[in-house]
Amino acid sequence: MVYENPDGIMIGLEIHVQLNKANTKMFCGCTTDYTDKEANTCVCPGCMALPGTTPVLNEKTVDGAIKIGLALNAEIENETDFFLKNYFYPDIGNGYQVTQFDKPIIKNGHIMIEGEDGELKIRIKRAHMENDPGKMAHFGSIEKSTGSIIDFNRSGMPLVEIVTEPDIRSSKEARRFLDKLRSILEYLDVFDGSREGAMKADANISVNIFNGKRIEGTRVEIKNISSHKAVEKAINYEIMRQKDFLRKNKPLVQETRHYDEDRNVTVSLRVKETADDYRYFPDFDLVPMVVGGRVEGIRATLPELPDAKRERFVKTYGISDAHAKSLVTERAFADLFENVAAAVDPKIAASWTADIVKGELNYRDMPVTSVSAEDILAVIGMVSKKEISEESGVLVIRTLLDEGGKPTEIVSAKGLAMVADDFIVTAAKEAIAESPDAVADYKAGTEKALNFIVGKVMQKAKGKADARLAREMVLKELEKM
Amino acid sequence: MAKDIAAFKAAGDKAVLESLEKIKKDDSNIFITVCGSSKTAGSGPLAGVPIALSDNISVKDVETTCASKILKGYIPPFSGKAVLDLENAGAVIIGKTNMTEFGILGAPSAYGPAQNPHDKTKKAGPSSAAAAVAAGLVPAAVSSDAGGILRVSASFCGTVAFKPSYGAISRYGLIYYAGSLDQIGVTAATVSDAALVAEILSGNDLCDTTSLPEKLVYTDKIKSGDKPLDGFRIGIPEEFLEGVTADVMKTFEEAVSTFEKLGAVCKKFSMKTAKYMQPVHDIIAAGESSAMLAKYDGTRFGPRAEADNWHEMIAKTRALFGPVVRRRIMLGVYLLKTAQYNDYYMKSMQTRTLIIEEFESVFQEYDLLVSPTTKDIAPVIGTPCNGGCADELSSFSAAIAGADLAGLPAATVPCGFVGKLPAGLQIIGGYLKDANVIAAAEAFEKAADFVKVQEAV
Repeated sequence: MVYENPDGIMIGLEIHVQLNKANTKMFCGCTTDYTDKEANTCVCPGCMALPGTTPVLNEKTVDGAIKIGLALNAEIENETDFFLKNYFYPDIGNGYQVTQFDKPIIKNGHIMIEGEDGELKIRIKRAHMENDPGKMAHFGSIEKSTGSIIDFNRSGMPLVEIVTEPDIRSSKEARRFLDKLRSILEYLDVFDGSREGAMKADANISVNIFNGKRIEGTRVEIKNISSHKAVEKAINYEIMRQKDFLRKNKPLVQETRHYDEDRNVTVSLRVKETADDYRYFPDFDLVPMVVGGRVEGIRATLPELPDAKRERFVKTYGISDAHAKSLVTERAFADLFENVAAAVDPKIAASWTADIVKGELNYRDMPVTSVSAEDILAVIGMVSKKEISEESGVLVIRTLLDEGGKPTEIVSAKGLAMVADDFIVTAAKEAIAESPDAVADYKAGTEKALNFIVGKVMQKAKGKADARLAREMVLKELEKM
Repeated sequence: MAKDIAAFKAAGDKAVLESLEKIKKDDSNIFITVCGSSKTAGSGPLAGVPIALSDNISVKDVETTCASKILKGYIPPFSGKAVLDLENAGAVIIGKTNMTEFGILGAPSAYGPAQNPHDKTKKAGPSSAAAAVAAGLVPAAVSSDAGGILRVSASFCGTVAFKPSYGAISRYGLIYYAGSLDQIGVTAATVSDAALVAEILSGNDLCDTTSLPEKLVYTDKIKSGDKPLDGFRIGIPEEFLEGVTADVMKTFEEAVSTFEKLGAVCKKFSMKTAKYMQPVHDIIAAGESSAMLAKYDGTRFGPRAEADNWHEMIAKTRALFGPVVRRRIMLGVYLLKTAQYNDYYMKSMQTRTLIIEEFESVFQEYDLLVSPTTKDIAPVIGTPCNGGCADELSSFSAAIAGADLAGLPAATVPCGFVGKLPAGLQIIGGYLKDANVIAAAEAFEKAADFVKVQEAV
C-alpha cells in the first residue's frame, strides 16, 4: 500500500531540545535542574546577563550535541562557531541569543519512522546549539495584561534545535517522529523528557494539493508547541484551516501562528513580511570550536539505539517484532526486559513486560523504576509453577504498583494461591450436575456451552483456579458421562 | 605631581588616608565614586596601596555607572577578575574614575568632563584614570582601553600606560562595549609600576574564554647598561605620523633619536592597511556595541522607565543613553542589517584579518613600532573630541586603532612637553611580545628622564 497524501501535506518540524542532563547551563555554572525551584533562584550574574559578565562554554553541552548528531546519522561540523541573534524581549537578558548560523554543529542526518505506508525516512537538515531565554508570565491575557513577571531559572539552558526537511505527511507521522526522537534522546542520556519545557516544537505546514490538482502551498509556521499530543492536534487544526481557506477561496498568508491548547485553534502571531531582521553576526566573546578528535571518542561510547536494539531483541531472543518495538521505546524498559529474559523464557518475559507491566505502568503514568525485574520474575515463577493463576499474576503486579509490597506477600495477603486439584474435580462434578441444559447443549455440539460450565467451576474456586486446568477437568468429567 | 608606588608605600598606613584626603580636596571631577578605606588593606606586593579603577570595571557592592545615566544606582553583586587580583595583591580599591559614557569616544560623561591636572582648562582625556595618577591621587589606575581611551588620556596627562596583548588580562567584570577591541590596561607614574600592576592582573581566567592560557611576565625582562636596546629594530609607519602637529612631531623626533642613542635602529616604512584601520575599527566597534549595549533594558538592573507596556518601557529606558552612544548603537544596528551586512561588517572583518596579517609580517622585520600617541596635546574643555579627532569615531588614530584590531601590546610613555602639556610616545610590540614593549619603554623612560624635564617646566 502506498500512502497517496491526498492533500499534498508537507510538514517540517523544528524541535528545541533542552540538554537538561548537562548538570550546568550552557555558559555558566548554574544548575540545569530547576524543577520545582522558586523563580530566580537558579541564577548567577552570567545567566541574569548583568553587565561585565562573559560567557564560558560548557563542554558537556557540545558533547551532548555531538552525541545527538551521531544518533541522527548526521555529519558533525569539525570547525564551528557561535553567532549573536539580536532582538529585544524582556526575558532574553542580553538582548541577543547566542546561537549558530551558517555552520551548525550538525547537518544532513535522518531518522526512520513508521510512516503511513511503511518505513519512512525523515531527513534532518541541520541542528544547532543555542541558549534558552528566561520565562515570562503575564497577569491576565497577553493582550490585556496589567503586568508581567520573568523567571530567569531557564535563562542560559543549553538547547539543540533540530530542523527537519518537510518530509512528514500527516499529523500522525509528526507525532511518531517526535516519539522516536524523544526515545533516541533519552537513550543518549542527554535529556530528561519528563521535565517541563524539555522539548518544544515549531511546525511548518502547507497543503499542496487542492481539488486533486497540485498547487503552490502556503507555508505556515506554528510556534512553541509544548507536547507531542498538542503537535498532532495543532497540525490537524492547521490542515483543516488551510483546506477550509482554499475551499472558500480565501487568501492564505505566510505567517507565524500560535497554537492555543485550551481552545484547540491556531491564531495569527505575525505575518512574515514584517519579520524581524535578527542582525546575526559572529560572537566575539567565544572562540571558534574545533570538535575534531572528540567525535570518534564520543562515537565509541554511544549506547545501542532503539532501532538496533529492536533488531537484536528479535534475533537474539526470538520474540515478535511487535514486542521488541514496544520494549525498546524506553532504554530503562528494554533493560528491565533483558533482566527478566536472562532468567526465564524470553518470549514469556516479553509478554509479561511488554503486554502487562508496560500497560499497567502507562495506565498509572508511572516510571519504569516503579517495578523491579525480581518482582516480575517472582510473579512469572509462581504462574509457571501454577501456584497462582495468570489473572492473579496480573493482580499481583497491579497491587505492587498501587500499594507496594513483595509478590509473595501479596499472594498470601490476598489469598491468591491456587486451590488443590481435587477441589477442582469436585467443583467440576458439581458444576456439571447443576447445569443440565448446558451439558445437553454441549452434547448437541454447542462448544460455547462448555464455557458456561467452566465459568461455574471458576466461580466455585473464587478465581483461584487455573482456567485451563478447570476446562480439562470439566471435559474429563463430561467424557465419563 | 605624580607619585610612584614606592612613594605611596613609604607613607605606610597613612597612604590610603592621604589618598582619600587628596581625592576629597580635588575639584577636577576625576572620580565618580570614592569607596576605599584603609581597613580593607591586605598583604602582598601592593599592600596598602590605593589603586583607582575606571567606572566600567565592576566592584562588588560599589556603584558602577560607566558614566552613563542608564546605570545610575547599579550596584554589581560581583567583582571583576582585575578587582580580585588587585585585592589579593593587597591593594585598596580607592574609587572609580570618570570616563566618557561607556568609554565611547566623544560620548560626554553623565558627570561632566574631568580637568587635566597640568592645565584645568584642558581635557583629562576619555579615561580619567590617567588624571588620577598625574594628580598624585593614586600611584596607578586600571582602565579599559578600546579606541585608546587609556593610552590617549595618559598621553594628555603625562603618565605611563600599558595595555598588554589581547587576552592577557581577563575582561570578566569589565563592562566593555566592543569586546573584540577592548583590553584592560594600567596607567602609572613609571613603566616599572605599570608593568608590576599589569603582571599582577595577567593570567588565565576560566570566566573569560578569550583569556590567554599563560600568565605574561613583564618585570624580569628589563635590560640594564648603556645600550639596553642594542640590536632592537624599530619601525615607524609613515601613516601613523599623518596629521601630527609640528610641536608634537618635534617631541617624537627627539624620542626617535633617544632610541638610536640606546642602540636601536629606527626606520620609516609604509603600512598599506593603515588607511583602513580607523574605518574598520569604527564599523566593528559600532556593530559590537549595538549588541553589547542591548542588555540595558530596565528589566534586571539600573533605572527603569515607567510605561504602559514592556515595548515602551524598554524604549523609554534606553533613551537614558546619551546622544553619542545612541548614534553608535543605531549605526551598529544599521551596519548589521542583512541588507548591508556583507558590504560593511563582513568586509571589515575580512580587512581586519588583512591588518593582522600585515602586522605579523611587519613584526618579522621590526621588534617594535613607535608613533606619537596622539596627534596633538590635550584639547580645551568644550571643544569637539580631542587630539586630532574631530569626528565621532571609535578610535583616535590609525596608530591607536591598529593595536586594538590586532590585539597588540602597546605602551605610551611621556616624551616631552608642548607648553605646559605633555606629549606621549606610543610603543607597539608584536602579539605576545609584551616584554619587548616594557623593555623599550623602561629604557626610554630612564634615558629621557622625563621627571626632570617635568620639574624643569
